[in-house]
Amino acid sequence: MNPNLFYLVFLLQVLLLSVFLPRRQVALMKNMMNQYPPAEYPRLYPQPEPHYQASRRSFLHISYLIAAAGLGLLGWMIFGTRDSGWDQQIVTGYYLLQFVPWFRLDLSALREYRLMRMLNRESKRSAGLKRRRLFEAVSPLLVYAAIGMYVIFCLFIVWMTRFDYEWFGGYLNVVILTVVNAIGIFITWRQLHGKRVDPHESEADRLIRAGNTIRILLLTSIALSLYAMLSVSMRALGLDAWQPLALSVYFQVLVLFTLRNYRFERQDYDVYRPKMEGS
Amino acid sequence: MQIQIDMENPEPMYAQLVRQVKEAVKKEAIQPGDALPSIRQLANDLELNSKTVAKAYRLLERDQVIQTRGYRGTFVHPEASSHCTIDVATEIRGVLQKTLKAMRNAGATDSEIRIAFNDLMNQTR
Repeated sequence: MNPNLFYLVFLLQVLLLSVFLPRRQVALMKNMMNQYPPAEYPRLYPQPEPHYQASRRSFLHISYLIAAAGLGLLGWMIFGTRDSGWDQQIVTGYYLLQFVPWFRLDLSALREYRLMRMLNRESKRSAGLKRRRLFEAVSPLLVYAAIGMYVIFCLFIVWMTRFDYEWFGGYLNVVILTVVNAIGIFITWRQLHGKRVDPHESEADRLIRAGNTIRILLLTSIALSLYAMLSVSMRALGLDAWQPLALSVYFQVLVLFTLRNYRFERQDYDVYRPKMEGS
Repeated sequence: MQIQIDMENPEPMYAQLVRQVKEAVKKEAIQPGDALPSIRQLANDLELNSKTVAKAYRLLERDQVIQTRGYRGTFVHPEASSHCTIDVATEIRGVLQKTLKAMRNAGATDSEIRIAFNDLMNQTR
């Protein structure tokens, strides 16, 4: 494999996850705040406006810092002395690092919701008199695709056990993927029937939020099954040198697919307007 | 169809739930055969204890307004709309009124009736 191709793909990973997507995210956040200003929708913002500006700034700065580290890493890979056997670990480790600012963003969103619940002085609580179903939140096709891919993966592992590869983990692969999927099923259940995170959220928006999370889980499950099969096949065919490149492409495609299927807009923002007296 | 629980309302929360489900059936906002949320879903959405919702569901099931079909969940009873008009409290009051009248006519005092009623309630609990 030409190492320049790997460098190019890794550079794309650095720019996509730590420059392009954070900028897009911040633009979305800014746009939302302009469209639904705190003065008109105070219940959407439990903290003062400067807090959100600072939060956006720090998200972007940390992302840029990680991008700079990524470029440094790339420079070291190109010009320094390195053992290419570690490329896969570098790609994975760096990908995890790239998720630190996103993880912080998620944590701060959870803190916001907790504050929203604490500040909620409403004596009235409402709920829909309808059972939330999985297929209302996500497309059945996606669910069946994830199940199908898992079955194919299991069959693939069963087939692979016929061969005597020393490195092959055998049924441990099935156990790992089953555990990951079981965690996904638990999170899905919590999204559909668990405690409400946002005290003001309408029923339709709750379903949208649940759908977003479940869709990410399903796409991750499909991608994980696919990548695991691809990885085992590449190793069996002696294409080990391509693994880091495939891993980097996998991470990027996964993130892009996930974001493409994410619905940022809510349906009902009026629930965040101040309550009129007597209503 | 939304239901609303008012924490400041002196009416018990399970009673508010029962009343609103019955109102929803009467207004045809929910139809016979419609799936209702699970006890846990409703309890989580309303931030109530699941025992409160379970009690409301038990009473609605007793009144045949809803029915539980094993693991498939809880549904609106096929005859729910006719059963919603039955007011159990009024029925009980009617039966007790007749009994009270008969006992007073037989010469029983109010305190005797009250003691006997309390004893019976405690015995059959």
